[in-house]
Amino acid sequence: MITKFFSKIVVKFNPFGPEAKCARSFIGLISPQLRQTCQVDLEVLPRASTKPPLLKVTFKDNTSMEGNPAEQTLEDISQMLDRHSRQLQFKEDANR
Amino acid sequence: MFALARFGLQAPKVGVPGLIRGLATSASAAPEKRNTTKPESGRKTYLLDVYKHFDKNNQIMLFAHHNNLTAHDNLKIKLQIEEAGAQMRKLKVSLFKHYLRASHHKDPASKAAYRQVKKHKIRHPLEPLLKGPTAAILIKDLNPKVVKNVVKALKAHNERLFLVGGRIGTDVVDIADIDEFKEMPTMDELRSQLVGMLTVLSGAGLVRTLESAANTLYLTMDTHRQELEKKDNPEKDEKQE
Repeated sequence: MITKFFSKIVVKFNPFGPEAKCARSFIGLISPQLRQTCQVDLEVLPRASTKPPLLKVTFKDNTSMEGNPAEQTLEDISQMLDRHSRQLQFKEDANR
Repeated sequence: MFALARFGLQAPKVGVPGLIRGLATSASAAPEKRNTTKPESGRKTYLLDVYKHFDKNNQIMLFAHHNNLTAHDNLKIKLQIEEAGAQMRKLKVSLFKHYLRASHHKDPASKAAYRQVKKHKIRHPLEPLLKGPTAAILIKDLNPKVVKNVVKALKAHNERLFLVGGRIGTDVVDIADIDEFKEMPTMDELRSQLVGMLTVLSGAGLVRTLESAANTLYLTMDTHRQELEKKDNPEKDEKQE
């Protein structure tokens, strides 16, 4: 997954639910270098919570994308995000 | 041996295999031969034994997700958690999961335990917390103050290290339960409150009420005994005559 163009990440998940695996592996992909440039907003939901799990990424060009970690796998989400990241990468290369 | 010294598991100088055997058969002192799934002196058996030791000796076990911690972070967090009165240990998730499933068994590393888990498809309620890099925070006593300190220490680390749930006593708890638990007074405080209440609010009356059942029982039994003696004695007297 290309994480270079992320500017903000919002993750909400219940660690006991089916979304835990996807959400936690997604957080695992955020490298220590990214911490300076990207803000991470994390919320761990309790078991009884009715809030839906959420995975939201805002890119540096202010487009934001949302995914549901309970229904999508990490692969689905990373593909979705990479599609936009590759466009941004292309633009960056063209402007150079 | 460095690792062993760190857990405070020092045993008399018998080497690693001896220590492992000592740990696993601590319940039954007989030095019987272990029949383990993996080599007896191997890493996996050792880890299962260590997890057993942790699980049996700690009242509270909190699980935290750790995320790409740098060496510097690691050291800092470890010190902070030790300062709070707990101990942090990163888990080998697959092995810990097996330990949880086999934890009812006397020796979780044994072939018998493995077969039982397979056959009965045993699952553990803590398992969902073990998806991804997980660290265990071990607290010896049921002390809400330590939990409070740990939560406070972890708060600063945001997504690098955060609590996902755990076990308090025998209950599986989530983040809301932990928040609730950490605000509770400690066991000693509760006991002293109870004692204070008893002494102030007609404590003597309550003690008398509690004692009265025993007292009446004693009196009835005593009268019964006296009656029996009275019955027995005349008969004996007659026989003697």
